[in-house]
Amino acid sequence: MNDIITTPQAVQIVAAALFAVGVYGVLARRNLMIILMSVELMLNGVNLSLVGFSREMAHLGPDATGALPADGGQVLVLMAMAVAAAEVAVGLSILIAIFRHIRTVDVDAPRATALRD
Amino acid sequence: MDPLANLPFAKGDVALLAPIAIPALFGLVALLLDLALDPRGSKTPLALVNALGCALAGFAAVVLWKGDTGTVGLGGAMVASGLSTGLALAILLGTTLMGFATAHHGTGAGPVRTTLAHGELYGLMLFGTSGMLALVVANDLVTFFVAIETLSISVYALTGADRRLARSAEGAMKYFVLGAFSSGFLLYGMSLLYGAGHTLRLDQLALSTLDPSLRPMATTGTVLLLVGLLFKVGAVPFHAWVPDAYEGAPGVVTGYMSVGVKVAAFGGALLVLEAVGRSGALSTAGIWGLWAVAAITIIAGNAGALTQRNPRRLLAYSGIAHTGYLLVGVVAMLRCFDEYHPAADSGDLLLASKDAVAGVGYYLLGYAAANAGAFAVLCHLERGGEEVERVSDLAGLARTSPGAAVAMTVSLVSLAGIPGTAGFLGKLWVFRAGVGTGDVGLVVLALLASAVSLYYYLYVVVVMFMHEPLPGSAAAVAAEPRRWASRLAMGAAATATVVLGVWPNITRLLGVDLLELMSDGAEALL
Repeated sequence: MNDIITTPQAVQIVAAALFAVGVYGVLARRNLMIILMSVELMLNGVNLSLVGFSREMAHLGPDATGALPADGGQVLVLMAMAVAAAEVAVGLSILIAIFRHIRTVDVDAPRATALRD
Repeated sequence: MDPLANLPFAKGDVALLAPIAIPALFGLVALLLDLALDPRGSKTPLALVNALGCALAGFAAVVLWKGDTGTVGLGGAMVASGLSTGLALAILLGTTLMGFATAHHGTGAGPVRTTLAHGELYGLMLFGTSGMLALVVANDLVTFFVAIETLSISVYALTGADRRLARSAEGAMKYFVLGAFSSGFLLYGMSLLYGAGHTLRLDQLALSTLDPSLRPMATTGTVLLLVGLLFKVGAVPFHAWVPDAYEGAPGVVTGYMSVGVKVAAFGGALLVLEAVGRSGALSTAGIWGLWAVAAITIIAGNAGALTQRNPRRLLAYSGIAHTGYLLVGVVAMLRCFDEYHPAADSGDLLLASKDAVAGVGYYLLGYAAANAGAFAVLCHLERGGEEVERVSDLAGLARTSPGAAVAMTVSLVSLAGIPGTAGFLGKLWVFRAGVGTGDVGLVVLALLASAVSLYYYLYVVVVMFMHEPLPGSAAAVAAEPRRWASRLAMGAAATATVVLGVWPNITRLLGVDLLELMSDGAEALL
């Protein structure tokens, strides 16, 4: 049982599923807050996929540049997490700015431009 | 024992990082300096800090990023070549000019209705510039991702900078949601390329021989990566955010992102596509897919621009059309990796592809000068925080402020690609490369579309020179005599546009030969 859930393919399938759920959320949900959460889900799916690939490469020795292939994925995941945090900070501020103007965070609400200025 | 000997930094690494770090440091200076300034007064000190930071970064890039073999540093995470220097100069030109153009925003007689915070504006512009400069030297997908996100996050915040306007917040939200969505695809593409190529380094990826069973994964990764990049440059079908973000953002921000983001994203795209093209992850079908994107982008951009009556929306669609012309060059570059090309393995094809890289670089330089000029004129005509919202507001501009009308005309003529301007040379160079690689159909389409574009560019010129001023319009209000900074920006942009179009070699006098930079960069890349 333990072997099945940690095979490289299984990790990639779960990662792709997480990513797909995120994509579905962005496309199908109309609440900006949920859309933001779905974007985070997409990024976390990718993070899982990167860690999975990194794990697959654990047995590989240093490449031509002297770096271990397995390290790259781990580093990119750390960077992606930092970037996602920064991104969500800006996203939430924009969301608050929108809410102050149209009193809703529903993207199907009457167009914000109709209430312009 | 020298305590510094064990640092992971070599002096060469600092040299490679300096042009990227300088704008970020000056961004902090701008943020702090703003606290000491009169909130209602002119922001020229900030514009001067901005210009100084950009000038120093440009100087550092010219001095430190030279060489046709490329400067490698930071353990290979960054590689600088002549192309990086050229594109860095285009980005810094845009940031400098837009900084000057907005220095007098919201000042002058009459009621002032603006909530634009200039300390943050200049700070974010310089932080974003730092990300753009990192993108054009990225040699590692980690660097690439962090750089593209640094510039994107700055621009998301800048788009919503005018908090008084609902449309500014709306434009920012559209840009942010679609941008973050596309970042997800970009990152997933990187992950798949990493899984297939076992490396994140672009030069290693280019050299790797992909396992045939992993090729589909690498191709999928490339396509996802391309989706993210095509979004940033505003190519159809990922262009929906462009008109709304350009219209919603303050004029200065629109100018900044139309120049900087496009130049940096194309620079990054050339680097990544070279690596995936060489590794064989981008198949012939992928190149034809990009061919189709280029064709649709050219058609949709020009068709959309025909009916626009808001100058910022007009320039947004014009920017989409220019993305299409630039993609002609990108397709031509990729042809040398196409193993089924009729002229594959011939020296001529490689030469034409190199020509395409240099052409795209030069095109971006001319586009930066012309677009920054057009937006500098729009910023110059802003009064008390009210932007120019209709082309008809420009009626009679030639009579009330002839300098602004001439600067706008030079910019528009260059964007249309009329001889004597930078836009013409750039188009000539890119389209010649396109013919050289056998993409004659695409070039003919681009030429026809350029002819169509004359209509909407020259319409603005006709309005400025031949129509009577409308009462109360931006053109009719007496020109603000103290706005020297935006005058400087307009003049500099128009001069750069003409000089780059008539006598590009004159930049040798300043110690930098732009044409040589571009060809050196192409030589280093391919």
